[in-house]
Amino acid sequence: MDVVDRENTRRFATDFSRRAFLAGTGAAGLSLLAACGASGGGTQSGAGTKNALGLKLPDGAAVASQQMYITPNDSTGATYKALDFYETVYSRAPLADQFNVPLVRITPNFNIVPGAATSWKQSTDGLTWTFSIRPGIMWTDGRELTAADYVETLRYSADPKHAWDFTWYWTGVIKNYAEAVLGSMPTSSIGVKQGANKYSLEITTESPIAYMPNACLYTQPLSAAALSKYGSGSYNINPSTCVSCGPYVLKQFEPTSQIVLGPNTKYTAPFKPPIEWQVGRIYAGGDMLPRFETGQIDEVNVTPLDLKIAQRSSKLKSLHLYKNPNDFEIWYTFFDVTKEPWNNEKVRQAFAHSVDRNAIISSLLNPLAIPAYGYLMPGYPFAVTDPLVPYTNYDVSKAKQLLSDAGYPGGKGFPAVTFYWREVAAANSEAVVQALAANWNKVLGVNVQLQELDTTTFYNRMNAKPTQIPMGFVSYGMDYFDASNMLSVYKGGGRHNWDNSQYDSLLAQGASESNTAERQKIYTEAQVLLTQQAPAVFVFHLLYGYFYWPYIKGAALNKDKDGYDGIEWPGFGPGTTSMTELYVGDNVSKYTRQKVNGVV
Amino acid sequence: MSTAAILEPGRPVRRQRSSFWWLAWARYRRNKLALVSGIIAIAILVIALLAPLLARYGYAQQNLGEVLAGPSLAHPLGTDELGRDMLSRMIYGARTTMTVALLVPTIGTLIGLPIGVLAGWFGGIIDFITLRLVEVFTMVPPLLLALLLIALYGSGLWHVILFLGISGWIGYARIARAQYLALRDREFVVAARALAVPNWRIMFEHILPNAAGPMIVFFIQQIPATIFAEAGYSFLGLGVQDPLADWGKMITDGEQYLQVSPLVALLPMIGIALATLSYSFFGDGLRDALDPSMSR
Amino acid sequence: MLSYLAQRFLTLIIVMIVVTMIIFGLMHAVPGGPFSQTQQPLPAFAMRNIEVKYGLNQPIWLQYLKWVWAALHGDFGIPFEEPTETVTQLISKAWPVTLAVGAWTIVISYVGGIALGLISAIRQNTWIDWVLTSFATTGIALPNYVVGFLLIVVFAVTLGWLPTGGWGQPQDLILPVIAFALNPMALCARYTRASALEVTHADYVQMGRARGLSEWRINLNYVLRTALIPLITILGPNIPNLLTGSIFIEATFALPGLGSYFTTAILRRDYPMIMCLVLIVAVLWGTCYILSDVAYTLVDPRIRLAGASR
Repeated sequence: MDVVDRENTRRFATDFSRRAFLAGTGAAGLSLLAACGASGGGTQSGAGTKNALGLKLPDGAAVASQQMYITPNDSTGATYKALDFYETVYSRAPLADQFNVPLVRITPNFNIVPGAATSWKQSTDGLTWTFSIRPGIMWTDGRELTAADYVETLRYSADPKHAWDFTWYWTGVIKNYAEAVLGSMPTSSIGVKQGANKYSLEITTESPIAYMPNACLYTQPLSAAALSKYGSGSYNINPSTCVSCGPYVLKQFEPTSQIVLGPNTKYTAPFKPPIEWQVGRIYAGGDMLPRFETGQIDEVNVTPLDLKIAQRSSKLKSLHLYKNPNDFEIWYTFFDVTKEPWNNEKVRQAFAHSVDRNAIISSLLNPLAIPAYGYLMPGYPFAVTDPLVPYTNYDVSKAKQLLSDAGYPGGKGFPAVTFYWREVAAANSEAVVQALAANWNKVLGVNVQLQELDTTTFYNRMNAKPTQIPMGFVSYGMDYFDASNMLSVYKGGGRHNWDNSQYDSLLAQGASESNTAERQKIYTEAQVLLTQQAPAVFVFHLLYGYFYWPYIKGAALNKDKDGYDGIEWPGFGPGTTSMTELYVGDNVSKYTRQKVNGVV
Repeated sequence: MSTAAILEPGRPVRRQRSSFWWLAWARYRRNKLALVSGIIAIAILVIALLAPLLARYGYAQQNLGEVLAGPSLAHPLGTDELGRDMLSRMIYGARTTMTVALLVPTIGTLIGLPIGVLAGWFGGIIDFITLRLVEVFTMVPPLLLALLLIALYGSGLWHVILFLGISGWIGYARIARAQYLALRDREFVVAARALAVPNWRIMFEHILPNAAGPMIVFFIQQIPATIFAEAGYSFLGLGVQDPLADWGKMITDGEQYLQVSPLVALLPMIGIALATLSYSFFGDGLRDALDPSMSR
Repeated sequence: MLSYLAQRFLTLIIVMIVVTMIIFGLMHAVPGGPFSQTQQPLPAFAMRNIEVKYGLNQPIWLQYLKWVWAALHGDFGIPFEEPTETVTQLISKAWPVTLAVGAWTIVISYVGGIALGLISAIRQNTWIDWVLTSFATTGIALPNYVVGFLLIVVFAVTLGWLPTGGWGQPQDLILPVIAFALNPMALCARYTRASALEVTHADYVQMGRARGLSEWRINLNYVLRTALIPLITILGPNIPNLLTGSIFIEATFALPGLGSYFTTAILRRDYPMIMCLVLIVAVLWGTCYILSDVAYTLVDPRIRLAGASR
């Protein structure tokens, strides 16, 4: 029992693997496998043959038995309670949400395309959305996927006894949802019901919601029959009771070592993936890069430091670095604007103008971050940059002037302030906060002191009302792909205590506006207001970097319209089109891939 | 001394005592390794004391244009992940590290030793209460206490020193108790008691030198253990906070750069090993010097 | 002796009750709960629903009594951290891994450490002694995750002899045990040397020499015997320590053991898990303290424990 765990928040013994891959023996193995693989016709190619889901494998694909996708997961600080969004959001295990078909799916360019719903339309009063569900999608228990499954799932989510951890998502959106969660109305009164027939789903909202199809990415249904039989969504963590209408079924659930999904041979929806098996390897910390290098996993999420290490490895240095914004994170320093000295707008602006974002990024985060001038990352809906830059750019003389105007010339009389942070290795937060503090102390002549906290304490103090953190370093990543989501974090009464009625009314207008050009105008105004008033100093947007072994192939990895590549948010699964466009190439035989225990 | 006293009962005790320390010093001086180690140990303390005079840069002085650089004329030991001079940080680090590493075991000894001596010597109800306290203190996870402490009193170097020092008394108490249990019925003690030597003098003048060996080893072993414990607590918010230089924290933070820029973690490791090694040999020499039987 | 043991175990139970009370109060007093890690503050009503579901809205004393009642029936609840299993299931799965690593570590470090320490003491102030002391001190001064890292680099990556980590095959044990054993072995060597030196020059050992006993007999019978006292005191409690594992070793070598839970349960405010782990710790350490007291009397019959008041 060690006294203290450093590991919980920090990557550990990084590891350099100079291990020569068994290229030579691989060649010997190739001929051996070819001799055994009679059906393969002397090659390792599975092109044209059908996999267990009945899909003809694409050109260049390996045989069906090799169509396995093995991903790493770090369980430190995580809780693995369920495999379904509507059972729990924050405690989902790896490979969650694979046993269903959500109403809509998303492409790597973040377009919403049909999923279980073939079409949808908004009523003339704007208050009701009607989704037409594709007939013939079957659950593994032989029942058909209908509107009732969605209705029961959403009602279950509002049940106070279920105490779902994501109720805020539909609160104020679906009619009567808040009342149901409070327990003042039955869950059957929420605005979700079957429409004209069992393939028609009607969702009634509190006010017109323009972004409803985007929000409906989170409509991964539980089976209504199984839900009523077992009373919760936890039937899906047991291979013998798992009920799926998605492409996969549960084969093994070991939250401390691995989760294995196999093909749903009764899969009937039209979105068939080439990948037959998914394996989520689970590690309680430790360094992922050597595990990737020794062939335990097919992909790895890399940090800027990992990239430097990979440069020294003959095996890794030639790999392509895939980069994408994942959940469009913003990393920023927030202030408690109700307290001295942060209640002075000029002080906040002085701090905003004295951050040398480019220097911080190029030394500490390159190439996995871009400078942030507002809450929304470029590429995210309605995000703007240029109109924001003048309000927060690095301008030493302006910053000094502002601080002087605020009554603290040259930092004189400015109280010593404490800057709270928590360790997040991916964002190199320990180095970044030190650079920020040094930056402020040097430019403004103030005294910013650092204070680290453990994650639970940090969030507990930040989320307390009133907040107990006067100045802290945090991030936020999107929940759904619309400006209304990220911008609402700064809504009055939300995460932070900057309360601006003008901002709130802009957000309300934006949410119900259906004209795109108008929405852009509204959201641009809101972003400018937020940056200009500086309740926070926006520092950087994080990019996620990935290595994939070259045998992981397919259009899912290709560059999107913004030039980003790799598997993008929300990852591999029935809610994305990338699921059908990823396969294991026939060059897999040239690589060492460690066996997975317990997989047929 | 005890043996000598028994063998030569006619000699006046007072003269014996003064020559005891002189003899100890004479014995210590003969041990060249101990002598050199003592000098290194003192040198580390001198560096720690004079840090602002010796260091060329401030421990927090960053240069983002020069991160993780190798040794150069400007930075003889290279720079760390924020472009700070490693040599300067090592020098300042000695200050924080040695403060913690020496104060914590000292506090532990000051609390634990008397308790353990009393429990071992007197036994009975004192021993009973001591044992119960030891049990309770062992069973309460220090991590939980630390979290509560931060919530109540905030962070700070002195907080972690007091926290580790006070919670560390158990070890010293247990060793002292065990040594006194083992020694209180030995011939020399019985003899001293027969000569009507007061209890406190038997406890501290007769038994203590004979019981010191394991205590010295424990004290010295606590030096690196303390450094790592303190570094571990800093991420909870208790103890050393960035950008203050501290060898233990420099290892936990710099260890991830071992492959890219090994000096960042290796230097503080060498620092801790050197400190521990010099104090170990110093402690061994001290133990030998204090052991009266060694003179033969 | 038997009545002494009975008395000790009885008081241990009382101590355990007191300790569980302290911990129960303490863990609820620490800021943050098992559900306070969400990015967005949960709306008050949503938080209330969760608290009601897990009974966290009840007064602490009632929660404690309920826990005691359930624990007495062998039900330690469901951990918040791994809620798909009961605490008992989780521990019964993870602990064997930790025990296997811990047991080997104990054997190797204690046997090796005592041997090295004795050699050091017998050859006091020779180069062998200095080399061994330097080795032991380095072992104490290196954190075990650095040792683990170096082992992986040399034996798994460069030489390719052993796996980088994982669990299931016998060779998975080798590197973790070496990394884990280095520190206790070094400690063991240091204490053995120190306490052996206390007695090598003592009168009764000299007497033995005078009586013409062979040197190895003296070393074994007299030196080792007395030297064992501090070993029991300091290294005894190290045994429960090693049997409960290390989060560093487990993370570095990807071992699905129990060690990490001692830290993560507290950081995650996983109340049921914390309580069960505290019980494990209490039983292990309590027993260990009792056994070490008994061991004193076995090693040195002159030591009296009970009623030794003067």
